[in-house]
Amino acid sequence: MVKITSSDNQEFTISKEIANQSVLIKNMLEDVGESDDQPIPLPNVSGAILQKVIEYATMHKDDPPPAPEDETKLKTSEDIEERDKEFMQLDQGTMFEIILAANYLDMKNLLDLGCKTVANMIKGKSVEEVRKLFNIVNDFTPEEEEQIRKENEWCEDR
Amino acid sequence: MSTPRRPLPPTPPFLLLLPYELLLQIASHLKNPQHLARFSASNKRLRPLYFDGTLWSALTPPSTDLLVAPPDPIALYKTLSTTVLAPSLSVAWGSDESYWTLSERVDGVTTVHDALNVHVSRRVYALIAVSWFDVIGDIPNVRVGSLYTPTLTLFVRRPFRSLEQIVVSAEVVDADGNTEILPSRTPNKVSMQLSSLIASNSRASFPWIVVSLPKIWVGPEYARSLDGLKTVRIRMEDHSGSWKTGLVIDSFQLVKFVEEPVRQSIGQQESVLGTLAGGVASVSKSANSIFKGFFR
Repeated sequence: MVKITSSDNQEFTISKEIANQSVLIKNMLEDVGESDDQPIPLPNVSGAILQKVIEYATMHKDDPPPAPEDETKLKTSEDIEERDKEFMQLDQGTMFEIILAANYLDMKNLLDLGCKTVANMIKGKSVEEVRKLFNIVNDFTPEEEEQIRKENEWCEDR
Repeated sequence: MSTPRRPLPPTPPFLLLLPYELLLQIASHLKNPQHLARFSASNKRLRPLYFDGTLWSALTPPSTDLLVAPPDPIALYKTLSTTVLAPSLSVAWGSDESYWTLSERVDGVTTVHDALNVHVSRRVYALIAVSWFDVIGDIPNVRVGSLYTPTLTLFVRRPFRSLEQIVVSAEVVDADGNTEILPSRTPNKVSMQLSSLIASNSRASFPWIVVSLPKIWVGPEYARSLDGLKTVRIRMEDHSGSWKTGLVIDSFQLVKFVEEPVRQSIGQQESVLGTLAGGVASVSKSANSIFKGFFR
């Protein structure tokens, strides 16, 4: 078993196969060796987010490594498993924290899932709808907006 | 007596707190230029995505083998360009770090190898100091029977010196790399001064500029090979002998221009490339700050 601690000092004990889904932790384990039972500190991830990350890793612990032909098949953002879609039904704060954590922990599958989920939220939306969805402020001047309208014209005039 | 309910605080724009490399990774899943254009038009922080050559490369297939173009400019864009990134360019003296360095793009741009869904740091060639140079990008599998616009994505870093004499050219070469001379059709080779190319791009592109050469014809006359595919060679050279520095090269690209009946759509397409050469001046970082650390 492997012990990890979050930024708010919550300690989690997880199996090695779950720990190894994070390249960061896997490399740390290799560096410190099997015998060291000191918890691995993860100062960039809070306990609540680490709990979700462990939930994801547990859900996928028995996944077979992707075959080469599957890698090409999984390239589109539409290819998200149903259980992963359910997992990502989160408030935006948690979702983006999971993306940051996946990036920090070097968990490619979780990072891809997070990025695909956000991309799917963006697809088909107008500029205003994107702003509303993510609570983004329009910080362009009218002149800049006009310039952008011209720059985007080619793909709007279909 | 019940206390009045306080309004909920607005949700912070979590998306904008992500580092650029993660925004880029999200945008790489959009696939559709329209979605990318709209997303990047929502805030200044997101606008650089629109000018990111990596994403446009990801929107295009690896070969320019389209002969009959669909009547849709977006679909056209996906099929029309091929990019040679800096590490694949042939650079004279390029392996000697006292002359050129192959460095990571420090604005966090990555290359998306979509088939394998792998993201790697994108590297660029930065000129340290040379008295002459040749930089060659060969774009293979170019189908004959079309006009193509050769483009270069590059950046001039301060302090720069003696970059006035650079000549950029494009030509069709055979399998052995020899120039194919055509008796009848011109141009088979185009050549322009870098300074005039840069001047023709009115705005800096965060801070990269995409310079377009005049179109080059790859005609049926070239189709001596059975598969009808040729190589277009884009070359930057300066043999003036004066010591020069400041040039940073990201990639060379070849964009297909399709004849009637979709000329107008392609015309729009070309204006997009022109736009890629433009940019949002207000979000541009200074050239020096972007490439701080290139020189040791």
